[in-house]
Amino acid sequence: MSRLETELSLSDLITAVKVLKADEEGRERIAKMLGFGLGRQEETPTLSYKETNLNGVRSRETSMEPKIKAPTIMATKEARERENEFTLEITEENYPMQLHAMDMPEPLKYFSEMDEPLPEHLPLLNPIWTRAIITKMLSVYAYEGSPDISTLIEIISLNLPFKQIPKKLSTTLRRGVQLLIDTGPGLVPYSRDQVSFLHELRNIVGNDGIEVWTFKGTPLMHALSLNEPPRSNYRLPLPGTPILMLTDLGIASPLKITGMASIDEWRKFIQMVQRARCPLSALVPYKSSRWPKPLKKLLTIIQWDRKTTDSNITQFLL
Amino acid sequence: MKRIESRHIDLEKNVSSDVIRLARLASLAARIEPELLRKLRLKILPEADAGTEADLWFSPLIQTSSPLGMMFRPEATSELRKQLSREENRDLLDKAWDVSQSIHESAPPAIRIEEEATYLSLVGARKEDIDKALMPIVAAILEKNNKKTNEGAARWARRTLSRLPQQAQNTNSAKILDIAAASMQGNQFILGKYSPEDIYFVDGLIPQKMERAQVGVRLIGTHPKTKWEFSYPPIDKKNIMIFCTCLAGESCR
Repeated sequence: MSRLETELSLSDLITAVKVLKADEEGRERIAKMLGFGLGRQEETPTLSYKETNLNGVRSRETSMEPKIKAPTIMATKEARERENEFTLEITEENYPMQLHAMDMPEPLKYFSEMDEPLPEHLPLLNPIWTRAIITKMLSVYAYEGSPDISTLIEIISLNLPFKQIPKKLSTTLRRGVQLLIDTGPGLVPYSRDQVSFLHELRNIVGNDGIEVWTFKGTPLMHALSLNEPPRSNYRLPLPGTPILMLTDLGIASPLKITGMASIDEWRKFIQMVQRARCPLSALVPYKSSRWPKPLKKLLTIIQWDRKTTDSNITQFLL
Repeated sequence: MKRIESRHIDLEKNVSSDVIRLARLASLAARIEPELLRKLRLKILPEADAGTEADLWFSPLIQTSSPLGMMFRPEATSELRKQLSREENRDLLDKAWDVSQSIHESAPPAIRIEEEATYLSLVGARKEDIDKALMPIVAAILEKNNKKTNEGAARWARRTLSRLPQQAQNTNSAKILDIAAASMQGNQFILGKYSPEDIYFVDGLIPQKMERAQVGVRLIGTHPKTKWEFSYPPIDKKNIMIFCTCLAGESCR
């Protein structure tokens, strides 16, 4: 008969022990006859605690304390009432699980994921090239360089009136930038890249020079200004201000997502920007072979990835 | 490219090779964040472009995703891990393990334990080593006077045991966790059936069990209008079912 076959058999054992008023040795013999094992306290298996870490580098067995007492199994209500008289205990050799082979480490402490720091983030652009790439993409030409000596001599030699000092043509970030961040579902895997790019941009252009909008689809569909005052209707920047988009141009195709912008909707936006004479560029995390062909010639698209460097973006600049 | 069977995944037919390779590396992780995909791609698959990350994110291999992370479909996970554990991929497995460890350095210990148990199973480690990796969770579920930790460990077990590799599921730690979690939360076992000895033994170690209630059950009416009738307190003492009395949304989530 199996030791734990039925509750009735345990009850029988208790009754037999009670009726026969058996001593300890007698109880063991009765139990053995009925297929039970009455274990002594020292025979009960214990789980020892052990300090360890995940890699097992720091592994130190502290002691056998505290010991977890083996479970006490009482057969019936009647038996439970006699708990003070004796208890039935499972012996180690009968354990189906060989727990004696295990050492118990320190239990895990409660850990809230709210307290967890963000994991290490490797940006899409190589940090070495980021500043150079941003500068190259957003710089506009203006007569703000060093004085143009040859023009100056010409004015003086012709005895013309001197209205202002002529300067050489140079690139500048003085016009600032309008940053358009695509927050559509296709950009979810890159949302932290967008945040870190904005941070980097603020370091380069300065806080005052940046106007930030988020959008879904195209800026003409759903847009929200992050500058004060908050606006929900997209507005173009001043003429000549470069516009940079962090977008996938609708390349990503999340399943079951509707409301994606069509090529025509993109074309409509791009044409509006061109009429305002604002240079438009886009950082796209996909390789050039996947960029929408109709849009390739309408705006400057740069691959947003490690392979993009200061030197190789020149080929993409319109 | 988007076709997918409900139970069987033919990986090569469903997604591109770069996506498969990235998915294989990510399958080791218990939690897949965009940061993890990025580091796996840049460190192990530098030839793949950034778009591969989004391609995987939106692939049919994925069951759920949020801005914080995503999760593979269970059948995809087992297939990807099977591929990753092949001898020719051993180097990739070790590299993926290094990346996962570094990204999840500050992650909750439960995440790191799951990943360690998975890694050890995939490299064919000894059963004792996998047992050892899972032991902190066993200690947590059995810890006395710490209900919060007990319940947290039980939830971990309910959520995680089914997705651990077979080798890890066969350990004693996994069995104890399964029995203890089921007993604490009044649910069914995840890893299969156990002998009464196993159940009694683990049940005796659990510091606090959920309160139970007896519910009577009987069949009423005749076929085909037969119905089950449940009663509490039980009307008919012949057929009794025992339920956990905790409320949904509390301990039994």
